[in-house]
Amino acid sequence: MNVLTSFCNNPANWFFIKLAISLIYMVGMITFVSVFALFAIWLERKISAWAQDRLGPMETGGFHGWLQTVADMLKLLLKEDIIPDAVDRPLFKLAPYIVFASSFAAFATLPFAANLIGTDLNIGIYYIVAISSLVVIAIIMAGWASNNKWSLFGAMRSASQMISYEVPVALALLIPILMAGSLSMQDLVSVQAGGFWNWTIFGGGGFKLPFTVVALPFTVLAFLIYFWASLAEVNRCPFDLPEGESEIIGFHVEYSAMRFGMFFFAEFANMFLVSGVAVALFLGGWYAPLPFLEVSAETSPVLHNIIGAFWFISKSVILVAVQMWLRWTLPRFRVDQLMHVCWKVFLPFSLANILIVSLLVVLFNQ
Amino acid sequence: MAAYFKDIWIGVTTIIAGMAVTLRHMIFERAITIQYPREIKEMYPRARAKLFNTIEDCECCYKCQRICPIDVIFIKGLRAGKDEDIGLLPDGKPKKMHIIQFDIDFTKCIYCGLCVDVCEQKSLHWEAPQEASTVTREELYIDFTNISDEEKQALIAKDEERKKAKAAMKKKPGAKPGVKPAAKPAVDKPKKDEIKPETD
Repeated sequence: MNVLTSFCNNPANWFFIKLAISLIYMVGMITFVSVFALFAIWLERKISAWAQDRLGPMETGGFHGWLQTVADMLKLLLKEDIIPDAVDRPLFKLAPYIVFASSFAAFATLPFAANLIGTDLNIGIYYIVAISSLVVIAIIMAGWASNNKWSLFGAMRSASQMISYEVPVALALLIPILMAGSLSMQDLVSVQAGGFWNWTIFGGGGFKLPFTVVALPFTVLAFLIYFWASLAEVNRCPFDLPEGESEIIGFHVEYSAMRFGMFFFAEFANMFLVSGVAVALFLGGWYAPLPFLEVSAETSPVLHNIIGAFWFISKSVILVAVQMWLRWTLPRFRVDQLMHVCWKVFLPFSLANILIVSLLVVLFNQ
Repeated sequence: MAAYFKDIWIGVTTIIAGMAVTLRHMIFERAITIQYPREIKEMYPRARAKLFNTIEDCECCYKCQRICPIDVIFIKGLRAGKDEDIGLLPDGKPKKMHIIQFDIDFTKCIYCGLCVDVCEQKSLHWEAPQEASTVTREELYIDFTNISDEEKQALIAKDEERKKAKAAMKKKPGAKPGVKPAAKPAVDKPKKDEIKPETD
C-alpha cells in the first residue's frame, strides 16, 4: 500500500496514472458500446416486430430471445471473411475500423455522469461534431476500395447526405450552446439542473422560469431539427439511402462477415451517440426529471454518478427507441427529397431560429 | 410561399399520424404469430388433412376399398357367428364382421375423399391434425384396427374351424358345389407385410 501511495504521490508518475485511468475508461466504454449495440439490435428487431404485429426473436436464450444478437455476432465472427480480388486491399480492410473508431472516439466527451466523462474538453460539443464527420471519409474509402460501381454510388450518396446534414445538425446544436454560453459538455448539462422545466428543450438551459415560456417553441424546434438531421447523420430511416441493402445498393455490398458487422456496430454506436448528444444538450443530460430523484454529490459521490449515468443512459435509450419507432413508420426518402428537406426546410428554419434565440439571449440572459 | 409552409405542415402532421398508427400496433394490437411447437393452431373442421376410421363404428362393407381410385385401403373382415354379439353399429343394426385388417397407405392416398362420401356409418371421416407429417414412410402406413395379434390369430383360427365345420355340414346333405351359401368376402388382398411401401 505504501509503495502505491508513494508511487501516486510522485508527480513524475502522474502521466502513467492518467494513462492507466484513460485505458480503463476506454475499455469500459468499448464494452459499454458493444453491449449497447447488441441490445439495440435486439430492441430494433423487437420494435419492428411489435409494429408489424409479430413477436420477433423468441427462442434464443429463453426470455424473448435476448441472446439472439449474441448468437448472430458469433455467427458473423465465425463466417469467412471474403475479400474480393479486385479491391484495394489496405483501404478495404481499414474502412470498417475507421467508421467504428470515429464514432467511438466521439464517446470521449459524452457526459454519462458528473464525473463519468472521458475528458471535459472546453470545446466538447465541437469535438463531437468534428470527429463524427470522419465517418464520411471512411465511407468514401469503403465505396472506392470495393472497386464496384454500386458501392461507389452508394458511398457518394452517403457522403453527400452526411455532409449536407452536418449543416442543420451544427446549426441546431448552436441553440443550446448560445443559451448556455459554453461549448463544454458538462457546462451545457449543468445549466439544465433542477427539474425538467429547466431542460433546454423546454426553454430552460440558461433562461429562468418566466422567460422559458417565450423560448419554448424555438428550443423545441431546435430539438426537432437536431433529432431529424441526426437521423440522416447516422443513416437511419427515413434517411437510410446509403444502406438500403435490398433495394438501392449501399456502400458495403462487398463486405462480409465481421467487417460488415463493424459497419453495423458503428451504426448502433452512432445512434447512441446522437441520442446522447441530444440528451446532454436538450434533455437535461444526467439530471433526473424531478430533483428529488437524484442523489446529490455531497451525500454520496459514487451514488451521485451511478444515478446520473442511469438517467443519462435511460433517456438515450428512449431516444434510440424513438429512432427505431420512426424507422418502422416512415418510408425512405428519395435523394432529391432528402436534399430538399435539408437545404430548403431545415436550413432556413434553423437559421431563423438562431437569430431569434440570439435575440432572446441578449434580452433575457444577463 | 403558402405552398411551402403547407408542404411542411402536411409533412409534420402525416409523420405524427403515421407514428400514431405504429404506436397503436406496438401497444394495443396483439401479435398474430403462433409459436408453433408450443401453441398448436386449431385446423378448420372441414380441412382434408388425414383420414381416420373409428373402427368401432365400421361396418366392414368394403365400399371404401372398392371406390378408392388408387387402391390404398386394405380391409380384411371375418364374418361373425350367428350367436356372437359384437356390438351395434351407429344406425342400430348389429355388427356382423370382425375386422382384422383396416389399413390405409397415406404415401399413395390422393385425399380425394370418395371413401368418406361413400361411408354409410360415417366411421371413415376427415381428421384435422396440425401435424400429419412423419419421419419415415412406414409411419404413413396406418393400421386402424384395435385388436392385438393374438386376438387376430384366434379369430382366424376360429373362422377356419367354422368354415371346416360348415363344409362338412354341406357335404353331408350333398349340396351342389356351385352354390356357396356364405359367400366369403374378398380377403385375397395381399397381406400387410407384402404391401408395405418400399423404403429407400
